[in-house]
Amino acid sequence: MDLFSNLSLGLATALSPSALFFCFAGVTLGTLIGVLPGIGAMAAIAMLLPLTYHVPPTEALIMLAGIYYGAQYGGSTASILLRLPGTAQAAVVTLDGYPMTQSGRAGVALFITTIASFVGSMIGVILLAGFAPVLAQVAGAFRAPEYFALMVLGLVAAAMLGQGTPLRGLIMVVAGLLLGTVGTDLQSGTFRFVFGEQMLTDGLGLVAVAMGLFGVSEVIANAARPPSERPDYRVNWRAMLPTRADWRRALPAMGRGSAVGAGFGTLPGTGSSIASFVSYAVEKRISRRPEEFGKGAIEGVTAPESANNAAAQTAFIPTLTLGVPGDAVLALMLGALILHGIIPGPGLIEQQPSLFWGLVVSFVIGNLMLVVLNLPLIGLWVSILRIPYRLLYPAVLIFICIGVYSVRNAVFDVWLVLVFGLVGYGMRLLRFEPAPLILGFILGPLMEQYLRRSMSIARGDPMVFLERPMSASFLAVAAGLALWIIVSGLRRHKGAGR
Amino acid sequence: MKKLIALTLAATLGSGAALADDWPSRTVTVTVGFGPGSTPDLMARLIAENLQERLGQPFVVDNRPGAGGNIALDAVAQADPDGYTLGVTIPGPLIVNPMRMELMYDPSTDIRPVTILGTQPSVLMVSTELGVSTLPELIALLQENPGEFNYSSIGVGSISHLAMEMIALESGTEIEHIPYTSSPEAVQAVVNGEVQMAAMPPLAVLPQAEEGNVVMIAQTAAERMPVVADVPTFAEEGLTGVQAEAWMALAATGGTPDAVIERLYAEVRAILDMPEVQERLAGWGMAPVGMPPAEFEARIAEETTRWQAVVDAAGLAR
Repeated sequence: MDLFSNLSLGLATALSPSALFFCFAGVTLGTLIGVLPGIGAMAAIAMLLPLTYHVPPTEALIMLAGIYYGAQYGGSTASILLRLPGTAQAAVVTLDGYPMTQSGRAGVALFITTIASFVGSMIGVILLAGFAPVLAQVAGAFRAPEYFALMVLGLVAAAMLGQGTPLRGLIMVVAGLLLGTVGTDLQSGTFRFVFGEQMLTDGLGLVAVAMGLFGVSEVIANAARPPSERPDYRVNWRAMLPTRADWRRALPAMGRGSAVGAGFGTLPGTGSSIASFVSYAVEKRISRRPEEFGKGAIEGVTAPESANNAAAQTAFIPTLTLGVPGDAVLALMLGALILHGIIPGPGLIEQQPSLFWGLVVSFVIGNLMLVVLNLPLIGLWVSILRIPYRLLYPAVLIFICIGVYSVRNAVFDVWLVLVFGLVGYGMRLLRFEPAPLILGFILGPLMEQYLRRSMSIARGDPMVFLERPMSASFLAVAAGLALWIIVSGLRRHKGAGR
Repeated sequence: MKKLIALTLAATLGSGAALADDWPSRTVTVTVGFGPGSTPDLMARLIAENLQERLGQPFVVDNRPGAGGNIALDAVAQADPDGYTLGVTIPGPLIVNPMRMELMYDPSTDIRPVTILGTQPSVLMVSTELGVSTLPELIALLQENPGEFNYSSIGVGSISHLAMEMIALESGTEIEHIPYTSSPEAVQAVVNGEVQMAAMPPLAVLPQAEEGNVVMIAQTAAERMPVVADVPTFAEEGLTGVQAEAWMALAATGGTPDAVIERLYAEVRAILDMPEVQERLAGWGMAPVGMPPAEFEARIAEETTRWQAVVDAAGLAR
């Protein structure tokens, strides 16, 4: 079947009243849980999964997928308005989104992130519809050494996330790597830094660490700030539309962000958090105005948003073509398929064409719905800023606690998020930034896993990383980038000394 | 005073018996050690849903993922022994994990096994690049090249790991273990040739075998299971002693009254006999079991001996 007849099959499936209803329900719910700090798509999908048994599999998947990519839209809202990330992926949007709010450009930021999300998603959907099998082949050529080299590149990029000196960024990356070692050694099953606490045997949870460092610490900082120092939100309602200059800077950033996001999304197990953090680092590196980053640079908001949405859509490529879930949420969706007796695997697209193409077309419909849904909501979201802090922050804390608890129904994680909230506040007082730490924390365990797997398979020969062209080129780029960071750091140091 | 204590004691005992008689009179929690959408979770929900329908009380599934299922079984172990906290578990937390690590509970005293709900074999599959299609061919290849080939698993101490160690042990060969973190990843590693073989649940293997991406060699059940009826057992192929099933079982707290266990078992047995339940299990690549509690306890003892030998040989004991 050619693309045209596939798409018409998809249209017939996705435009049925019930499919439209479940799509709308999914994206609406996704937006809401995305906006709520701490509560992610994982919890919502886990709760709805048993109910989907009573719904046909295509509709069920359309709804669950809608929650998943809908949450990617909503996640940036609280990041921009309150410096409280709605999801772990959106944590990086706080860096420039919140300064935009402080300078009265909250409306512009929310408008442009909605567009950025849409652009990223559409690029992702086009790749999924047109090139899924080809891209899956490319991703399949990635073995442990390639993944390892890519993680190293990501880690070097992580050091550039901060606004301070690269040394401070490096300290945070290392701190993140160390936190990532907590848990069970994958190769031997030995516990590391578990201290007899069985809740730590699977490591620290990303949601707890990210929400603690970014979310709870922000709440504490606000409580500690005297009222007069609170930023003055003057939201100009008419100034919601971005200026021509904004567009000129934002559009290329959306393209680059989408490319980064699609790259990471297609690779199973890397996920949209890495994509959004790395795309921010890319923007900062190539910008002619790197000094504006952290102070409200529009590229710093749009690129990560396009990246995480492109990653969310392209994550369906390995999931549906190979049966290898792109991340934990997609693994859950595969569970929904198994619940219905559909066994995910390489033959899925041929065996279930209406499911696959119906899903693809529903992504387009769902993303259009999200734009229509999100643009009018901007006014409503901005008015959240008028809620007095004494009402807003307790509510935020409750949502964070519920969200963290819901990841694996563990009270332990609620304590963990509070501990990391205090740690994050301490870091803030010492002017250490959490973004490089988070990226180190996400990349560390992955990097270790791929390094040790590569070495095991190569029977301990480190040349394996240089013999394979793809991994060698990633490592070369990483080395070049590291060199550039050192040289430009030294030059700045000299310049300052003069 | 003594009389009062005696009376109170009698009253407590009496109410205990009464509690066992009218079990269940309130919500029952069913813990499961894996996240929503996982096979143990699907199993827990299927059984809970039917128990709820038959017994008229809510049966709520409580996902407590983590530590290979230990956290959820620990919740059962620490609960009051009244049958209001049950658990659906895989063999790990009951049999293998206690050999490998210090646990918060002792499965032999803190857990009362009810029955195995369903079971599935592991299917030994190999990469098409190896050019072998039978077990004797594979063993010959492995014996010629000891330590040369790799197998993937879903993690240290999992059935997918131990089954391969058992095969290596029984055939006197050596294969290198490369742990992955999930069955799709581990299967994909065989498909793309990063490793050469793995022992995985039928559901993970079948879609790849149908596409001709991997070759199914043998299944680890004692007798051929319907889901992979055309795949021989290890014994049929001349290798005895390889038996590994990734079953899912129902467990209660140690010391739960006999009356509750008997009632629960009778209901579960009836549920497993329902055609629609059997159809669902078949769709997940599983076969219903439902042996009586005493038989299940004997089975645990037998498997413990079997796995202890493998765990010791692989150097995994704590």
